[in-house]
Amino acid sequence: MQSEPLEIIFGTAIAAAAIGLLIYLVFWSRRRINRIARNGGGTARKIVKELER
Amino acid sequence: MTRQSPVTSELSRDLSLFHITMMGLGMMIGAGVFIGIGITIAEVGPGGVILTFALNGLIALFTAMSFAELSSAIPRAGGAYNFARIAFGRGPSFLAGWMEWFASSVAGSLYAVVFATYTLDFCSQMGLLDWLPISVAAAVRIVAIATAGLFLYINYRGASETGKVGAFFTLGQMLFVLGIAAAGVIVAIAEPQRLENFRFFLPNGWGRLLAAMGFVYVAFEGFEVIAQTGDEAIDPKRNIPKAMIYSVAIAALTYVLVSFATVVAVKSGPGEPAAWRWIGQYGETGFGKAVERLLPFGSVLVTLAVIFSSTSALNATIYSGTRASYALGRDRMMPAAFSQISHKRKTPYVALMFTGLIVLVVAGALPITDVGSCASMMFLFLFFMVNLCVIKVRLNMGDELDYGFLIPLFPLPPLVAIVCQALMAVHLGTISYLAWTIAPIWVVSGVVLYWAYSRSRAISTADEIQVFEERRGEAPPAGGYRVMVAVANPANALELVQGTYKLCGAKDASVELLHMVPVPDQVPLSDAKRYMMEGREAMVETMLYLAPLFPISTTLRYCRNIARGIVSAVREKHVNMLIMGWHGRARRHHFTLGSTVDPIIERSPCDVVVLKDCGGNREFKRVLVPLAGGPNGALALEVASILAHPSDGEVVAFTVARSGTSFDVEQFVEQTRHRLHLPRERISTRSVPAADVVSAILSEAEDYDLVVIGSTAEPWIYQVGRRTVPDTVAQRCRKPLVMVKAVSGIRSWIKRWI
Repeated sequence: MQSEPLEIIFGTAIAAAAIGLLIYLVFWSRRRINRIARNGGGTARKIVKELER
Repeated sequence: MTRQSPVTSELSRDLSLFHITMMGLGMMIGAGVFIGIGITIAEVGPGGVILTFALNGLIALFTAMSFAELSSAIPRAGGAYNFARIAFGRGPSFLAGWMEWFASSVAGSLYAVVFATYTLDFCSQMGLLDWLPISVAAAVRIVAIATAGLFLYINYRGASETGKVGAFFTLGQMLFVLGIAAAGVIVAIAEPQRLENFRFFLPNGWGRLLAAMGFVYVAFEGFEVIAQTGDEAIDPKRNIPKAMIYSVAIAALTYVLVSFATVVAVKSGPGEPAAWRWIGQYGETGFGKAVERLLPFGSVLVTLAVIFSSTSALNATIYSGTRASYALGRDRMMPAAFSQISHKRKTPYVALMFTGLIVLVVAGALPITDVGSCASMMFLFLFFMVNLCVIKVRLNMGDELDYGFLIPLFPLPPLVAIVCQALMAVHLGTISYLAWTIAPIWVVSGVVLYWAYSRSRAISTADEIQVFEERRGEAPPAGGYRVMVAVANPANALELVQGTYKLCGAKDASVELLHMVPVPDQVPLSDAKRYMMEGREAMVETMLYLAPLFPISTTLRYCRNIARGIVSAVREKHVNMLIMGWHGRARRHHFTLGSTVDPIIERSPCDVVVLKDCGGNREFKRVLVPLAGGPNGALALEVASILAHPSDGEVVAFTVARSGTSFDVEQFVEQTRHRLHLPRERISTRSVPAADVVSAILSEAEDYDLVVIGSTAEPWIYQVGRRTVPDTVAQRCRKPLVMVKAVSGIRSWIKRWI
């Protein structure tokens, strides 16, 4: 019943990756929301074009 | 005479980002995690509980992003019900409201049961229940029902905590939970041997992980209430998306830390079961038992935290469920009685009564695991739908709505969330088969109710597409080719007649004439008749020429956005080809051809033919077809062969040879020969070497009567920052021009049906 060390390493890595991605997405979204607000919002097409500039 | 000044009233905007983030957290940090940790540890072990909350947090974040995008674009109260109404129309929106009602009510039951469980467990430990003539389990039911009844009465009285006061309660809860997490981390640092508790990382294997994730998904329910603060939040377009994303992230990180603390809280002695077994044996109270061993007075602190969090969440969920059923009544999706307001208390008492009925029955009848599973299942269904809504709204209405946030890597995050939520819902059945019985029964009963009652009674909204007038002509043969002609005005109708005549003749088609009535936003639909005259004239003008030759039907429709209305008509009437006119310029800089033509070309699930300056009695003797091997080339050649003068017209398939490209235009013409309506000898090919493709095509076009070009194959989201060759040619070409887009197999099938 005791878990394999590999399972512990793999499970910990997945949990760490999920938490890392979650934190990254939060900061990334925050930056994007601020940028869209600075540009005055707009339609999806307009925002995508402005963000790519 | 007194002059009347218009008086408007609105709620004051005084809820900051902090307040609305705390509102979301207040719903999340509470009962779900208190009962979830113990049961999850029993299911998946100490490592599994960390994985469960980390992965769930990520999936919930994807869903929160969907809510954030939709709330930033549609800042109206109503949540999922409102999003579904705009994305999919009445039926799915009824289902969303119906599920939201049940999900919130069942979550209310869960919080009532959790409150009762923890409170009575605490009293039992203190020896205060020794006199009870009934079992503790029966007492839990009675206390749960009494608590729910009390909060139903509080809701009837109209008393509810305000966002600001609630924020401070939530902050207190958060500090307590983070205190437990901090204690866990300190203990683990001081006694590293406690980390040995993770030795049995996933004792029951990876297979149980999805079921556990499904079970505790209800712990991430709550961020959607932030959408309801659109009228009171400061700078809602910026703050609401942020609050949703922050609240899910804070909750996920807190849950992971608290799970860690719970596992390391227990120090197994010799002869004692492993820590995870010890916590798991207590099930829903496992978290409390572990905290008792971590902190002095842990039991008292946990009980107080549960009392605060579950009562606050119970109040909010009853309010939320009542509001969902009230909205259904208000829109006549449910009997009007659901929207009745008490004269004395100003609360929707009928909606509250039925919500209360669900809360009380579920709290009194089902075991806690089944109540939690049922709530999770309903929220999984609901969030599943919201993730579909965000895709549909972006694709269908992305050019109409004013967004404050856009999901990155669209549509990947909502698609990942949809798949994961579906898998979790399926696996949840292994924890509670009752949830997999009750939730589908509720959904199916909703579908039946909609078809039997709501469909014919629902009040239409200004966002919907209305059919003003529909005249069916001679029925087209079954399976016959159908051409829809979108006419804007009498002048435009005459421009389209010749092309339509030739294309319909070649395809032996029936004709659907469509006119979208452009009613301004500020004009009520009841006055729409005033705007129909021009469309009727255009219809009559077109019919004069086409009705004697082809079976013809006409439709006058209204939609706030003409492009969306046309694409919707194409879908509904299953047409094979859409013909429309183009004035030759884009008024708004972020569109290539125009705000109407671009979305129609991108989204229509049929062949599209856009005509520019092709009216009158023009004869096209020399037709140029620029080709580069794209998916629209074959249709461009076919249309060119139809529009070319039948007796002495000539089509030239033209390509620009550049270094590194290997398109064989001769071979392409041979391959598409079976589709061409001219003899092969009148179709020639020409290849010109040039570095600038656009200039080469425009220079060549000077010698021709008509240019037929395929539109770009790339969707607009990939055309960012540059115009494509077909778009630039279309804009700059001074000759009559036809742009075509061919139906594209599976992508068009998806567009038509989804």
